[in-house]
Amino acid sequence: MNCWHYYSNTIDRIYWIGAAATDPVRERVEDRLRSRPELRSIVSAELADGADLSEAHNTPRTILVRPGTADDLGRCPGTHGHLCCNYLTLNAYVGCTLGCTYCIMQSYLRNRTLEVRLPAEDTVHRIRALAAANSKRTVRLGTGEVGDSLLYDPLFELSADIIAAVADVPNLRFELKTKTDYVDHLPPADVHGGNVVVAFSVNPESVIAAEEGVAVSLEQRLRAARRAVDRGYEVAFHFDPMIHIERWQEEYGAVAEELGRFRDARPQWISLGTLRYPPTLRPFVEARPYGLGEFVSSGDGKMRYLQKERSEMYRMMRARLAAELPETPVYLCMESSAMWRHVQQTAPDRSGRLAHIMCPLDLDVLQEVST
Amino acid sequence: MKLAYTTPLMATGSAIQTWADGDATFDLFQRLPADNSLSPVEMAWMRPAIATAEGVLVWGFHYRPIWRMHPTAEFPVLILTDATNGERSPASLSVLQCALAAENRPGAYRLSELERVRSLVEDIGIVGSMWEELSPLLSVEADPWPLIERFRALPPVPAEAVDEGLIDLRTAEAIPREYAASAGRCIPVIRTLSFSNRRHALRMVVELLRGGADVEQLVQEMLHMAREEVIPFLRRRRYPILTDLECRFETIRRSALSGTGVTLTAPNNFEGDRFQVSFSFRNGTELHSRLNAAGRLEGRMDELLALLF
Repeated sequence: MNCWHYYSNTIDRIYWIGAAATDPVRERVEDRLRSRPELRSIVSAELADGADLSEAHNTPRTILVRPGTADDLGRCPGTHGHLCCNYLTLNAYVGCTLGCTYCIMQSYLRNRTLEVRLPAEDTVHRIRALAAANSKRTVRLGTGEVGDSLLYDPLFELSADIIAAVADVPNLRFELKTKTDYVDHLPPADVHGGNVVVAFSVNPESVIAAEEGVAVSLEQRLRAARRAVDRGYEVAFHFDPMIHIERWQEEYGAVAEELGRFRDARPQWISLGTLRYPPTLRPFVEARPYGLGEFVSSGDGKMRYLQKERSEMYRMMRARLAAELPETPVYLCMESSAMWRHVQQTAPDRSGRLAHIMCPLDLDVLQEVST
Repeated sequence: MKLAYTTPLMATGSAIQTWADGDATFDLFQRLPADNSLSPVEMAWMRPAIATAEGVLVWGFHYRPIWRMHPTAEFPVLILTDATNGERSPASLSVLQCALAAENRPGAYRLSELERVRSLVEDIGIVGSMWEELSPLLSVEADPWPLIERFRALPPVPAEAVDEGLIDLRTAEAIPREYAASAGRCIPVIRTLSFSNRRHALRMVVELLRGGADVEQLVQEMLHMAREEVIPFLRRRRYPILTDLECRFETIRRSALSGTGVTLTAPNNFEGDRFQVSFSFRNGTELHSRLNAAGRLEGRMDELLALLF
């Protein structure tokens, strides 16, 4: 998927709000809009206040660029009663136009425009302080919680700024999670410190074609992963959401086998998470074939496949991945401790290969620095 | 134009019937006004039909069976006359207001009735501020137009079910258009269920249809069932794994603990890894016997854990 064509087809205007109007990122973006013929139809202008946005422009074809706040950096909200993988989030790109039918953001994100939040001035300082306070652990930080980390990154290049600023933090893993193949704009090996993980959300091709909108194919994602590896980046993979399709064993097993191509790259981690959704997403889910699965309400109020079905999926995938990528830790996303004990045979923070990322972090420093 | 009523005119049943058979513009409502203390004939006297001076029946269409039954008897009819001295306002709106005032059921109209009123208003060409004038006569709360609009968008079968009060608008809207007719085939079978069970049943029927179930087979199977069997039947079809787990759990529970005074509870939706045993006792003998019974579960642990993972 050519990003410039994608932008010209999906973005009408970029509004710079408040201090974002004088941020150097604006100059960078506007240079690009001028220099690329495909992007000349995109209007870039100042807007005093987001509230001034006209109703006609309040659509996902508009990107509002705002100065970020301290709240944009924090821990992944996780889910009540389920184990969290200690992921820290930096909300830089908010919203997504890939159109995945199961996307949790359909209910999480109320604003209808896309948003780019320029990281606050002290963000890098806070990330460094956090890493220093947790020097014996691995601090995982990512921009892929409320948007695709790389979908708009070739245009705004926010990742490059952060990558350069944290290159010398050894115990940080800055994760860029994506369903695109936009990796070629990322800084070269002499800029990044080897602590950047380009992570690809993966699914069988049949699921991608039917449910993941305009996201690129599995093969394109894997080729992009290889390009990232070739440029010195670490990679990771996320099977999330795994969907209980008719031939799930064969199809997901085949994806695990495909990932075997990366044995030499020793992916940093692989996560497994079966489809879950809050009741507010029910109308969207029910309209899809996978809505006919047997979902039950879990402890956190979200709908999940029956535990018995989930555990079968996890056990099968864990075995297949262990065979293909024996050195890569596999963890469960948003799962109960009962499921962890059953599938992983141990508590997450005691599992050898996972302990460095699953041990809870000392986050007090985030508060101290921000106050 | 403002309208006023003259002294009631007396007209025979057959005469009024002729008016009713003529211009049916205002034939909008479906039921007799409820008044259990009066017979229909008494009603026709106590709440007379209304017509215009030109002989257009405005209200009272529901008395037609009475007029037919008593063609020579005389009934009172209120006649509307123009009392406005040339004030400008679409005449039909005023007539419609009279009909609605006579019907006097704001908030209790069926959606199909509201839809007919709205259609008439649109035909007359007086939508807009005029509709606002009518709204209080139709609804005690908000403007009913958004509801009418949603009702209009429904396919015929779910619309009919909503109009009959069998299902709510939201449930009807959730039925995909392509399954509306098939799902409708099940409505006669589920109509005796409670409102919430009907909604639940219909939802499962639609999901089963989406999964390729044969509607005729479903209907045939449900047709001969006792009312209380319908929901469990649909659940078994829609959630075969969950209901199988429930059934297996129940079998274990009964065979191991029936009559022992010990209760075994599985985790909700078989989510989690803990079963719960509970009992009460009054003396040492009871305690001993219940502990023994609970202990027997040890031999069923594999079966129990197989329900969870």
